[in-house]
Amino acid sequence: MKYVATVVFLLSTFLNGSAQDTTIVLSTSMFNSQGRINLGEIEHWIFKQGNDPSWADPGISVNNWQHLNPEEITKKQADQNGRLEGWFRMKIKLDSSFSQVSLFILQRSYLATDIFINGKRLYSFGNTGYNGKPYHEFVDFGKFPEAIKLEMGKELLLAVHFVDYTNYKNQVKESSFTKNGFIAIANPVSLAEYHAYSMHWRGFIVIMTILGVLVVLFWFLFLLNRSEDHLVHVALSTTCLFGLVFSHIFKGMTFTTYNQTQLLMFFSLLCLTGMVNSLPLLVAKVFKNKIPLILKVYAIAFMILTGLSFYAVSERIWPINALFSLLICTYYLVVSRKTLQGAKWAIVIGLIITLLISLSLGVIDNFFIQTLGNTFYYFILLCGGYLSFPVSLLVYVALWMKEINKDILSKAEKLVQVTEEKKELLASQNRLLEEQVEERTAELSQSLENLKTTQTQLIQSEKMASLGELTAGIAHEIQNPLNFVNNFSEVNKELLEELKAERLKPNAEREEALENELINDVISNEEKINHHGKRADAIVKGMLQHSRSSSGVKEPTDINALCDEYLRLAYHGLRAKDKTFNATLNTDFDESIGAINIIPQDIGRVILNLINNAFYAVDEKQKAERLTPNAESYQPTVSVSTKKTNERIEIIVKDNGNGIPASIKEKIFQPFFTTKPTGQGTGLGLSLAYDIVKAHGGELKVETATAEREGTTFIIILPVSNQTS
Amino acid sequence: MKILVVDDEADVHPLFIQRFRKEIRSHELEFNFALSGEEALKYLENNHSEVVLILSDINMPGMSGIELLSRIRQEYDAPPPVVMMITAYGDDENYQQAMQKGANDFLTKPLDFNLLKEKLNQITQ
Repeated sequence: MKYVATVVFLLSTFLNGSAQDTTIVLSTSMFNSQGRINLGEIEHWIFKQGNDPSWADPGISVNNWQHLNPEEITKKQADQNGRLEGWFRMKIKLDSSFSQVSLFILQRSYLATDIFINGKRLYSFGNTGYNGKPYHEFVDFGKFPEAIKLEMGKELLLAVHFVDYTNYKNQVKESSFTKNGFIAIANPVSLAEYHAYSMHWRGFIVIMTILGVLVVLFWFLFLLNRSEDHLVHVALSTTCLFGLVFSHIFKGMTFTTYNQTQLLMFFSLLCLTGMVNSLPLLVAKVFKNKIPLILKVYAIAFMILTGLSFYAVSERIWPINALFSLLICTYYLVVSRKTLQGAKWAIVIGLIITLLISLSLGVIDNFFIQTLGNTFYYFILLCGGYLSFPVSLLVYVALWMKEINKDILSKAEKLVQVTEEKKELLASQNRLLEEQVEERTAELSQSLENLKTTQTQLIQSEKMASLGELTAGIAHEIQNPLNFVNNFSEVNKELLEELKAERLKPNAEREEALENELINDVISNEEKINHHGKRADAIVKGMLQHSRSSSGVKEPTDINALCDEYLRLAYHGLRAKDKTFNATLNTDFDESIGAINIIPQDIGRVILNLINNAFYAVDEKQKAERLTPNAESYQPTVSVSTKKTNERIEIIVKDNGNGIPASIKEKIFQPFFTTKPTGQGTGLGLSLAYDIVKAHGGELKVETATAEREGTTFIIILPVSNQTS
Repeated sequence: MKILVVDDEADVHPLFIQRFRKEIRSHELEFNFALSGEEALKYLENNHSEVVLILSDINMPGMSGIELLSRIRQEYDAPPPVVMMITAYGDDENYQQAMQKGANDFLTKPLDFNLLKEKLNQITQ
């Protein structure tokens, strides 16, 4: 029938020579597979630029109209504002085949059009401004076609007034003057596409909702796990898909203007490219855990190229891009097929399913849209096509998390195990340490005990050492009185026996004078015996006192007597040991001191120590002097003097030895410091002396002059408060 | 026989006088006393020819008995007096030293006068 119509058209053109006279007979056979007769396809329009409402009138002259089909409109017809306005006219006639057919009018472009039949306005798409309202492009071409009624068998003058504007590229809008975009008369079959479209739309809403959730989920997952950078590719590719679906939906909205649509189309192209390019990156990251630089360059290059196409080229880039990406993905799948496991399979399966469904949808969209487009299966397929990949990503992420969890769990178990082991180790080490500490503590306290014992022993040995030094002196001091006690008592015995013999004589022979002399001698000797007996007693008591531990009891003591006693003891002690030793002893006692309260054996020990030191010093010097020519000029002298001042009592022990070198002067009161050869001194003497004097609230001072060779002076200073009242 | 007793103990004087009172009475013995080595030397300066026997203590302030012994041995050798040391220290070291320095005898305190008398008898005979 199309053929017939064309023949008729050609004949009429040829016969009449005027377009005005040609009437196009429309028949239902002219409906295409989509149920439309695209009026833009009928090349029998006359056109006049400009606008006059009367141009709808069938009766006007059309001599100055030109033959021009809608497809032939170019931007040349636009004024300087890009406005395209004009009228198309054509005579049509519907044959009888339309008797049982409901008719619709539709337009698939942004043209604002008024459609007139025989001068009467039938319908308007958008607003041309005919009713005084401002121009508005037709934006709701997604909505269902408008039903119309056309008389059959009668010649009808179809006049179309259109207004349009060139787009941002200063080009005629793509769809406006095309066979498909221009107005069409349609039968109900055409509605299937709209139904399918509606189905599409509903499908896309579902898809977008699910994708939206997934996008949020994936981004959250990534943001919470920054180190897992494969998640960013998962999130990115899902986001691109979401953007694609989003733009798809809004592109088809009844309120979307031409310009918005253009933007959305560009956006959808970007999303598509993003999807196509993020996919190889994701696959590379997941399967090889490494994105080669070249792949990044590839992805970025294609993104830039697509971005530039907003002004330049077109959608022709992305299929090439997609093909490359597909090849890259396939390459990765092939090379890593042996290491595929667990979560990775989800992506492989997702990709394959998406590929299969996309192919199926392509076939259906192109060949079976009328029959299948409105079915539930199509809906499922659509959802499957768009969602299988993101869902596979979800499965991948879930499996990955499971693997991570498993990994973490096993690691945690290991950690717990290790921790337990460490704990046990620590505990055992702690035990060991405690045992060691206890052991050491025991050792230390043992050492401390030993030290204390040693200290006590040392102090005792110091006492004994000084006692040893005394022994010889004591022996001498004791033997001497004993000598007298023994001998005088024996003399007394003899005297008494003599007296007895005298008494036995007859009175005349008795000599009164001799008897008296004998008696006086006995008495005198008895006094001597008594004196020397007490002397020995005092010496033994003094010795006992010295060796005994300090009683700690202060008692009134004659300091001068104490000094004298110990000076003698020390001197005789030293003389007993060393026959060559000799020294001049000087004493100068202040008799006003009287008795003072001290612990006599303690202070006695101090005095003895100082005197012994003095003797030692002068002896050392004398020994040295003997080796020199002027040996006789040195007279070793030790002086002991006491002195009472207002506040204190001083006991001064002075020698004319070599003095104490300044280098050791600071050390002499330190325990165990000694200048004597090993074994001869404990080094405790002065230290103990110092402590004893301190305990008495006094001071022990030393003055020494090595340079002047004036010897050393020790001064014991005791507070006068020690004096007994 | 003239005897010089050297001892820093003053009571030695009455003791010897009483112990040897019979010998003194019978003029067998004559005693002189010195309280120190120095005093003894001083006395000897004037009377060394008379003194036959010197009894000396060892431990004395100032010059010791050993020192005195050395001096006597150095200074008075014609005729050398008999020198007996009397000391409270009867130890071997003291004894050796005294004998080495030229002591004729060594007695310890408390002095056994019977022993001393025997020794004196040996000398006089």
